[in-house]
Amino acid sequence: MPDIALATAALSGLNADGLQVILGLIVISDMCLLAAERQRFSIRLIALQGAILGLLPLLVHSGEKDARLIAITALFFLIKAALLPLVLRRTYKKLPPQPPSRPYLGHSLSVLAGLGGFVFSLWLGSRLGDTANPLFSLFFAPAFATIFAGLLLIVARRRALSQMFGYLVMENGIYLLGVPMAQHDAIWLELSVLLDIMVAAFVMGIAVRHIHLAFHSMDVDHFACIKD
Amino acid sequence: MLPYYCVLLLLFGGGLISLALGSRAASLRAASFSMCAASALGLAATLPLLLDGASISGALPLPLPLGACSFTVDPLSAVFLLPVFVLSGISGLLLPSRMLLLCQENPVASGSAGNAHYGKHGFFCCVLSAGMVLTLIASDAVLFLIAWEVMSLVPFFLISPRDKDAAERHAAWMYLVAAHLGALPLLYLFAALTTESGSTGFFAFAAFEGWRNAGLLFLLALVGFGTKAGLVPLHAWIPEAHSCAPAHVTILLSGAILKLGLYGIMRVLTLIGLGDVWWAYALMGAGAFSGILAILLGLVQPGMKRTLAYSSSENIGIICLALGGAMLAMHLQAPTAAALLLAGVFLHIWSHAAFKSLLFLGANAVKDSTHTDAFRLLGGLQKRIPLTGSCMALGSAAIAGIPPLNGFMSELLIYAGFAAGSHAVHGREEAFLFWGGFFMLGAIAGMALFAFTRLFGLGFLGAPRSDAALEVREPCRLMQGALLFLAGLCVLMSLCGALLYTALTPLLHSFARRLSPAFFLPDGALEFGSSILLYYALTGLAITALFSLALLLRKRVVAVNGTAQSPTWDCGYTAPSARMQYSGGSFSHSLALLLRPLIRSRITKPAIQGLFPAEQEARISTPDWSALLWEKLIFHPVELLSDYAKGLQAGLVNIYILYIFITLILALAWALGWS
Repeated sequence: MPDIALATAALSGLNADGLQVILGLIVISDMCLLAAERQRFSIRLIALQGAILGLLPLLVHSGEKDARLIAITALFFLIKAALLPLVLRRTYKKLPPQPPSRPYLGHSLSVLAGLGGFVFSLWLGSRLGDTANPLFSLFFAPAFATIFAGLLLIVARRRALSQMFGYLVMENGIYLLGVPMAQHDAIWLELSVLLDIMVAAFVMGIAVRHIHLAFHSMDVDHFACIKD
Repeated sequence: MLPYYCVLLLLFGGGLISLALGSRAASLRAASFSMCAASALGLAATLPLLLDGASISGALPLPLPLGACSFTVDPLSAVFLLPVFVLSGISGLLLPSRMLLLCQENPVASGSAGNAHYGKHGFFCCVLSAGMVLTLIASDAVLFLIAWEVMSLVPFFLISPRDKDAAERHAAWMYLVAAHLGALPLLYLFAALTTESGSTGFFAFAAFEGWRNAGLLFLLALVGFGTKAGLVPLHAWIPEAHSCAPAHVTILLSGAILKLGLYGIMRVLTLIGLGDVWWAYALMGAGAFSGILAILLGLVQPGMKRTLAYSSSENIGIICLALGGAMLAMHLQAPTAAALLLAGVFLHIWSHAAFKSLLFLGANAVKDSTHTDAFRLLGGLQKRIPLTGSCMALGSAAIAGIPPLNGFMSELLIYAGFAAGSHAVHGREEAFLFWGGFFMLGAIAGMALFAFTRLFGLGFLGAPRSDAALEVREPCRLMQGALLFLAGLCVLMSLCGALLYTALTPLLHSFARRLSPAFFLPDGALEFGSSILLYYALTGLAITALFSLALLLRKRVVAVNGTAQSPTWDCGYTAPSARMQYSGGSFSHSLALLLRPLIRSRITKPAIQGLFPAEQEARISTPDWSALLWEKLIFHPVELLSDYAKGLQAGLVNIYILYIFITLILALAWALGWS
């Protein structure tokens, strides 16, 4: 992809190889999350993913780095790399220790499905054709792979907390789609999505605790009994 | 329009007061009063309009999301408003006593819980009447549909007032399904009318010309309104609902609501015009099919109310047959035939409302004291309840088309119309169609005679077949009054046929002009019908006089010779018993055998073997095959699908998100992959 590499180099502060390494890291962290059995490890992975994503707007930005951009990047980094993992960790600590439960879809199968999602995203990206913003083509496949990984986590995991990881990873994917447009005001849209997710994480942190009190378990299987 | 607004206000207000009074018996009285008052007011407002042939319009500045709150009462509405008001009045009058009786009958419902039904029942009775009036006076598609829905849905709450009986609940659900399915084509119909004409008003529809899919619109109206009117094979709800509902609701269902289906068809015809000639064929075909099949199914029913319910479908069939004939006559420029047939249609609508209500009230009166209406348990009722029996005899004679009563009066006009039509197009192929209609009507009337001979003979003559029949009592005074009133109405209508015809003349003119502006009914064409009815009334008087004379003579002879009493069926048997009488199945057995392809009776014959065979059972049952067909074609597959769809609702969030996931992937693949 020489043209994209050129365009990327022209647009971003980072060269195309560096960007691809970062995006590759994100995809790898997605796969690790799908493979992870222990929740504590998952939280760390989410923190790592959040740290990379939080810094991305700064890395991608081509022009002069003004104070506003730095402030926003700092805010993203704070929320994604620190605040959300802390909320998760707090919730995790509050729950009594439980042995890892068997997911609906096994870990190996989840990783395979995640890889399938990545291939599907690459195919979708190839169908997309030229975009006005060349960075978008580069970000598209990893972003969608992350969204799919998040959805897979929600669908495949049995524990409510693990499903929360899924929502966060999905949000990371949506965020990643928006990063190429970080130069414009679209970043405010990103911020609003992020704030939504953060509130959701807080609410879910509380809800998860209540669910545990009501059901004495975090298995979402038990929720089936409240359907009509 | 002020009187009609007052009628609606009275009905809705009365309903709300009844609801507010709740479990007290006063709630029923409030509903009763408002229904009676509204009926009286409505009749006083409608009669002059009908006689003058005038139309009045009005609008209320009420905000509707679409359309407008506009009302019109034209002669066509007025014709249908009359039975609605008369029957609402009778229904309202009977409401308190019927409801109290119903709740006393059922020990479970007679406690505090039973009384809780009073307010709701009164409310829904009032709303049903209001819905019917609103349907008839609405002149805006949206308002009409709202009124139609109100009128369609409310009987669901009235069919089973105690909500205790499984059969009643089934009937109510069946009604609800039919009402919903019937409303679907109407939504399409009015949406199409609105889209093409660019307005929701009936006046705009009527002024618009050049409907693109007029044939489709007509078919939608025929199916949608035909479901409400109970045309076979769309009638499946009628036998269930009519046989389960209490008396004061049944008369509204059979006497008024079915007619609203006809009103709908006629109203749409006035809006989109006479159309192609195949419309007339379709209507005649649907009417003949409905008439023949319904009365055939009616004459093999095991109970009185079910027979009456099927006969309602049959009469609607007759009306559609005649309406189709009138449209054909208009196409062929045969004004006399058109006038006779149209007059027959409207007179039959009135006649049917009168005698069918009479018969349903009578059948309910029998059921109240015997707790059954099955022929195999009844018999010999005439001796025990002479008043109800005589009213039923009169009603049966009227509906079976025996002169000099009102049933044959309207049918005579239809016969004459078909004959005049065939005469007018003498030598052309269409003459066969008119003759076909003539003979179809003859066949239907003949079978109706058979069915009602069976109904009255098995129920009221002979000897009682069970102890239940011995318990029969005359109904309360109010009910007796209602029976006498309706019986009187039948007699009066047959004597005043010519007057009724005169009252209908403005409607005939306007209806024909609305259908086809080019068509004109000359006075000569109208006079013919009037003279027929005059002769009919005179002949009727003569027959009545002869009959009275014969009765007098008989009385005198009996007085001279004295009377001797002996058991029924005492002709040479040593031990006659009630079991020797015809049963419902055996009476219609020969006809059922003859017309087996149409009736599809299932006969289980006992296999008698050996010299001393054990006790065996023979059974003749006639399930309604058209209803079964619907069940097989629609309801069963839908049930299967619904059962399968229940599996989709697993109750697991994961699965629900998986659905979103799959949808997302498919949507993306579709949007990006194949675009």
